[in-house]
Amino acid sequence: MNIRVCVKQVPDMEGALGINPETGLAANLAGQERMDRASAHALEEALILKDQDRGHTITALTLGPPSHEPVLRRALAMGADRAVHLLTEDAPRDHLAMARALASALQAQTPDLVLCGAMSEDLMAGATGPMLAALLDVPFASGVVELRASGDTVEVVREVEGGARETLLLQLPAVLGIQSQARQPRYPTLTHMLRAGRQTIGTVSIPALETAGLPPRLKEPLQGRAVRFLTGAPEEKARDLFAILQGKGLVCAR
Amino acid sequence: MRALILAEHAEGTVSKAGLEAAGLALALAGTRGDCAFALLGKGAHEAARELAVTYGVPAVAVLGKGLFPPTSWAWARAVWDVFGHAPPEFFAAPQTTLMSEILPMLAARAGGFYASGVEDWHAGQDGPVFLRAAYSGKYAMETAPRVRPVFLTVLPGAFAPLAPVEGAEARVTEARAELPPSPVEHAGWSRPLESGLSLALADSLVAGGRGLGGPEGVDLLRQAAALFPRSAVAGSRGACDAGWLPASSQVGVTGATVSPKLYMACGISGAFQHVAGMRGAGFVVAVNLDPKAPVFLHADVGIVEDLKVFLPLLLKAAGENP
Repeated sequence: MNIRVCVKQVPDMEGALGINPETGLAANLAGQERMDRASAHALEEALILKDQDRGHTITALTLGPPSHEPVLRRALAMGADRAVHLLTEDAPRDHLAMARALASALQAQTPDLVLCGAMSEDLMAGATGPMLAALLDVPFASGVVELRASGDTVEVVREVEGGARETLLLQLPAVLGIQSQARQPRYPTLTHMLRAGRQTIGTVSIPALETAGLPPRLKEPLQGRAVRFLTGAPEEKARDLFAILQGKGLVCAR
Repeated sequence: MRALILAEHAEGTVSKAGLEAAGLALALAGTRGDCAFALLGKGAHEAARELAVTYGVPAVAVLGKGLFPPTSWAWARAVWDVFGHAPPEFFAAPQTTLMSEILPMLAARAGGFYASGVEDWHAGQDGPVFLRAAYSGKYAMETAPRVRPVFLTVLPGAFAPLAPVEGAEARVTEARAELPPSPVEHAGWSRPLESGLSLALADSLVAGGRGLGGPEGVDLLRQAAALFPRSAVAGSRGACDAGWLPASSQVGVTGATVSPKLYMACGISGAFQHVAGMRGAGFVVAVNLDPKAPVFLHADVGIVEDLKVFLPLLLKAAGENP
């Protein structure tokens, strides 16, 4: 089976972030970037399929500027067979433009299975998978936590609201949005890392695409409650918090 | 019609999140007569009638083979089959699993604009501007369409639900969608073995996230929970995925929705998927090392400390207060 995995490079969101005035997008102030967690889970699912059947071929695909090449090296180091870089000038941010670019790259040789993260950590839209599926005119399922491929179908279990799960059978070709889950994405192995360093990455230049949206603007997030930060030494904060909770009658009476 | 509301329905009733999406649709469209509900699948007729009578908004029951159980493949096609020849300016739906598939599918098909998890909006110079969370909730993103139609999923809890109107019965119509055989087959529902019932019943929840750092952090949560009446330990997706807490203790979109008197979030960053499950809590305390963690935007009291340092101190403070 020919499996494509869409992977994305994102700023490391554990560190301090700032807004890049040129792109209007957020950047890690120390320049740290990494593979999006949802992408890593999608790649892991593809690698598990390959562990079960060595006949599968995994191609990692990313859409982004030249500075996003490391995410493809990482994918190769984790065990992807090949990597293709769809080169854009800037980090893409328009959902429709992104999906169209990916679809045009995939249409040339329609893969059997396309895996994406259910929702990336940066734009948090979960739009690429379903848009790609619609443009390729193939079925889609998101929130996927289990998948089994057999013949020309894939059986998936996916999470829906309130902790329930739904089982779906999708005819291949299909696009799946993989949800993060208990299975942790594997670390690169030494053999794969050595290969990843030497391997040629295919590149395709993507012309500037028409966007459906105006350039997005980042702002401070909406505040749901007016938080009061406790100050002082940790011991003081602990005593203050206990007193607050006691005052509100939220502590066990004893 | 300027705005079409897509909503899931059960036994003739649309969820609160669906009515909240309708609230946004009405704000965008201007009048109830410029809005319409589209109901699909089993019970579509009953739901359409109920909505038209209660809310004074026209409703369309979309009928056709293969619309129940719902799949995004069939529903997206059916909606486009019925409304695609003269699409309204706006399509709005609650941010559910199904609608989060259907709306972007429709947007791609229509060459339209898509924004997910809309929390707020305002009228800009060139039309509406939508606000949504990005970067794990550390920023809000303003996004505005350049093209029409506009496809939106609406964050549950962000907008006031559409209010009922007395004596303003609106029209109910019927439409039939012709669908080709579906390549997607629904093969059943299941619930996790333990339901989140114990979480829903608790008056106090002490919840942990990735900041627990390991299963040993869970013991601290349990000890802290013992300070509070009718308490239980809960977790974020991060803590449950890591296996430190069982999946049944997950609070959030794909876990339990809770509204305890006290919610204490420890080492939880506060992604909107988690916040959606706990925003109804009475009093929220957040403990996190990162002062920028979005969880503090949804807390009444914030403590910037490592939970592994802070919780033992809280236990100690409790011990000093007999």
